[in-house]
Amino acid sequence: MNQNSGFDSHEIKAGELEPAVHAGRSTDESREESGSQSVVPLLECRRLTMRYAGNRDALSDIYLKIYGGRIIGLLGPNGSGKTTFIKLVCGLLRPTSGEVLINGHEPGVKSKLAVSYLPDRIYLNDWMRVHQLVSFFEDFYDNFDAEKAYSMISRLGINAGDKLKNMSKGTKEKVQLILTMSRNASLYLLDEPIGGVDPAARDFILSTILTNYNPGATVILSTHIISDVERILDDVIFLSNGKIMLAGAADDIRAKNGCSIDDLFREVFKC
Amino acid sequence: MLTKLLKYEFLSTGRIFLPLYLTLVGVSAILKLFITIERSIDLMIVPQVLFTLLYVVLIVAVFALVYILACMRFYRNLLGDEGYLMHTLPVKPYEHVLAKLITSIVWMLASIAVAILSVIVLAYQKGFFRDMFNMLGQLLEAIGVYWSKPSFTFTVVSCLVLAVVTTVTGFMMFYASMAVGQLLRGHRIVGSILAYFGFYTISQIISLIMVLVLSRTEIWEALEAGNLSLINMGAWNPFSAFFAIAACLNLVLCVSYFVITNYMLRRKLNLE
Repeated sequence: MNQNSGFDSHEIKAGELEPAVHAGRSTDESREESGSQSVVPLLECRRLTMRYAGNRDALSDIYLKIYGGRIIGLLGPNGSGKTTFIKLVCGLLRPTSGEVLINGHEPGVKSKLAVSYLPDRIYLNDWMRVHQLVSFFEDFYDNFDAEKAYSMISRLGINAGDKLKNMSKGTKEKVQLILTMSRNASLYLLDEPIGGVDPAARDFILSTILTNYNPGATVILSTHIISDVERILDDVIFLSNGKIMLAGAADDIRAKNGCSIDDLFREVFKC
Repeated sequence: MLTKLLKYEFLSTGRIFLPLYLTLVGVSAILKLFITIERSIDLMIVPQVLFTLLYVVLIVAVFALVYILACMRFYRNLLGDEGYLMHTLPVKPYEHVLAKLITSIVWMLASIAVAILSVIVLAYQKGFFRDMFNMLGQLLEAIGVYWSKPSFTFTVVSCLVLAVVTTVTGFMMFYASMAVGQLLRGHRIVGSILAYFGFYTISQIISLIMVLVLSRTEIWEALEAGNLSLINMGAWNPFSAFFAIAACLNLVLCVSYFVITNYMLRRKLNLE
């Protein structure tokens, strides 16, 4: 698989017919190649590197351009840098070097309004009731659609008067997903959205993602359970040891390698 | 956004403070009842002792909880798992710090008010307020005899300012310690405690320097002699000067802690 690992720039663009991966040497070059100077990418990473104190690089030298309207799988084994990448994009971490730009701006108040983030853990306090959480999101995010949230809540049979404290972990995860997907954001970052739930709930979650994100927006979802999500992915990014190993349109990758993304993943990351 | 943060800050802390305040006032009322009845029934001494103990515990709790909750809210809400939500809200980091700080200050003031209220409940008897106002009047009269009023007022005000600034600095020192302590990955509480001792040492060194500098001035002589009549020297007498200098130093510390906390949340945040 190493024929692809020499790439240091990757571009994922809406409605593009040619292969979405660009083997440019730098972002500037690849921008010239694709002739898209006028369009600011939704998400752009330049030489993005993250090193935690005393450790090896969690991410090194990531070049990436992502445009609107895609569902992108961020795939890689545990510890490959998926969560670090997502935390950098939503501003929970500052890069050691390089930069990450959302709509051309560094993570800040503006980008946080544009990005809807679902972390890989329960981030809601347990004393609030569901309807209080809905008002919380409504208060802070102008683009939060409370009506949409309530319709999903009732469809799932969750009682809006219930306290988080009395819910199972799976229900809490569903509440979080509902809150995240009820925002009309331009970039959804979902970290392991199907990690801890049963297969039936997985289908629900995937259909929630598919039916609720606004069409101009891009969804990046990280996972190592590929078989369930493969069918909804437009593009995939393979992360390995903090580096992009492979990135491009899912169909192209399947055609080129003659196997499913899931099989490819198993082959590439064989233990 | 700050007002929205404050709203949820008060929602979260109010559900603990309000019941506690009600309990404190209730217990002082019951205690007052027992004290009143005790005169007629001997056995009443047992519940009276129990409720006195409970009252003391509650008074301590009302103030201790201001600090405990200040730390817990900051640590859990901004540095724990809830931080994943708080730090992805479209809010500037300093607004988070301000929201926490303002909430703590308000609860401190509320705790003082409720503690005073509970004492009034305990001490109340017929003509209580009349007696109190009489006493206050006499006090003011006495002040008029010994000290010139403007300089005394100024001294008291500078003392109050010092008290307020010191309290605020105390909260900020906790926040800054936790914001620095989270850098120690995997041992964040130990890190916070170490950072606290670090800040404490620095503030002690600064006050030592202040004392050493002041000891060469007339202010120190007057303070050592405890000669309160020196307040008559005017608005800037040795006492008000001392309070003002101490308040300024505390203010500098407070602002430094704020800047450190804000920098850590903005640039060095590392949630687990």
